[in-house]
Amino acid sequence: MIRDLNNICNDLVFEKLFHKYAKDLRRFLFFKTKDVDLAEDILQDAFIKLWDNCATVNFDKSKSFLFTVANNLFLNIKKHEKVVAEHQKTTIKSSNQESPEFVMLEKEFLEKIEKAIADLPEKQKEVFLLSRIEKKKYREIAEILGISVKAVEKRMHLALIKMKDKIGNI
Amino acid sequence: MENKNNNKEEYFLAKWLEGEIADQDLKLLVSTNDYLSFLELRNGINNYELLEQPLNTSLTKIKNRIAFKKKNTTNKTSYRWTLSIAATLAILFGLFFLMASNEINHTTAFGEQKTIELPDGSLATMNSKSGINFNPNSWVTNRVLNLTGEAYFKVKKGSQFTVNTTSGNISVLGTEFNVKTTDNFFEVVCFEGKVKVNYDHKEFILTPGKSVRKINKNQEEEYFTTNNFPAWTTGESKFMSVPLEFVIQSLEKQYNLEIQSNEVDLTRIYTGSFTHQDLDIALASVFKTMNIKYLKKENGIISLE
Repeated sequence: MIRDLNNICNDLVFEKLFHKYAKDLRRFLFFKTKDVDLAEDILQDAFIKLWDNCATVNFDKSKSFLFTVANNLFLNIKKHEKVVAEHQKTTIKSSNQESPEFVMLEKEFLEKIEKAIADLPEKQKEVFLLSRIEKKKYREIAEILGISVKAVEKRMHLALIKMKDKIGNI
Repeated sequence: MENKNNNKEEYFLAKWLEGEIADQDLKLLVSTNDYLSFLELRNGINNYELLEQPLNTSLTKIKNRIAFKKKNTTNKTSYRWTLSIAATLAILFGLFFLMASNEINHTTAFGEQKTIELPDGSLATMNSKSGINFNPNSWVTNRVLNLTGEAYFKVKKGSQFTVNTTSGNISVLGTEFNVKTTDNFFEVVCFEGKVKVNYDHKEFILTPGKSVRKINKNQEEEYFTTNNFPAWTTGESKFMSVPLEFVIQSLEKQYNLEIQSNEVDLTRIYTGSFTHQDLDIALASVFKTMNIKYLKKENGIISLE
């Protein structure tokens, strides 16, 4: 029974690992690539590698396996890009988007945003999340919450001012 | 009048974030410092949104890719020798063929599905009884291929990518889409990105979930699907309001059958699906639901009455 729970080759275990790590891995890859599509591709490849090696990878090591594989895939792509660039003799220097400083700044900024959203008053947060995460139109939000469109816009407006102040201040 | 104007710009940030107010208009409403802060904030919010997107579609895609791999990698261990000889022959033959005509051909047999990788890493998954050919030498500058039958494309970003069929041409930059074409049936479904379809001097732009098709001499129709990938890649053929004639064609291609329709009205409309795994279930799910009697004869001949 316990063996089964730790067997990555088991569909359910694999899915559980996906739900546990996919989001973090996507963040990690996004900071590195700055490209949502590429991050998504690498994410899928990394999990498929995990599946291919499910019999040999230790359950407790699955996280580090995923991140290492993802990182290597990313580096391979960079390397390939460099070769292609040299081949085409374009001397455009690749921007140092993957430099540690950049990754950290980007990460810090995102954390600030997350904190600013979390600190919003409940009513503004509700409108903000419905709009940005659930992708609802202001009109639809007004219907859901039983308030006027104007009131929705007001909450959104105030939320943005609040977030700007918060982020500017740190 | 003044009041009205005021009202319009009262909650301008909400409108700006939705794109109803342009950046340069916002610039006039706030200080330069605030303007820059708001731009930065919007950037951050966009990233936040992207990273909060649900991951369900990724999981489905991973599962599909795994399922697909399983199917294609059975019997790996045995016949190594025969395989390597076959591979050598194939390469030699391929080289000869390359020099002879500069073209690469791929075809699938009855019930077979095949995924091929194009020179730029784009993928094309072909359904049964389909064909793709292209010129690998000019691929870098000119991504064009010819298609008969049905295929699902996952195109790497890059220059224009064009699929020619006898019915119409499809061109994209980097996206996922499905093309199905037989005599009198032409259908393109877009799953990701943007797809441009040229058909009979008309142009259609498809966005994700959108589809255009033309059946017989009818008007082209546009409709929506909710799938993230074509059903046939997971072992099922799906139809939405399609004349029976084309469902029968698909069955024949999938199972290598000859279906004799006799007196049955082939213009009747079918909505539903059939599996690729089991002939009896597939026949039942098409003909029983249409209340058509069928008889299995020898040599894969099915007679309807």
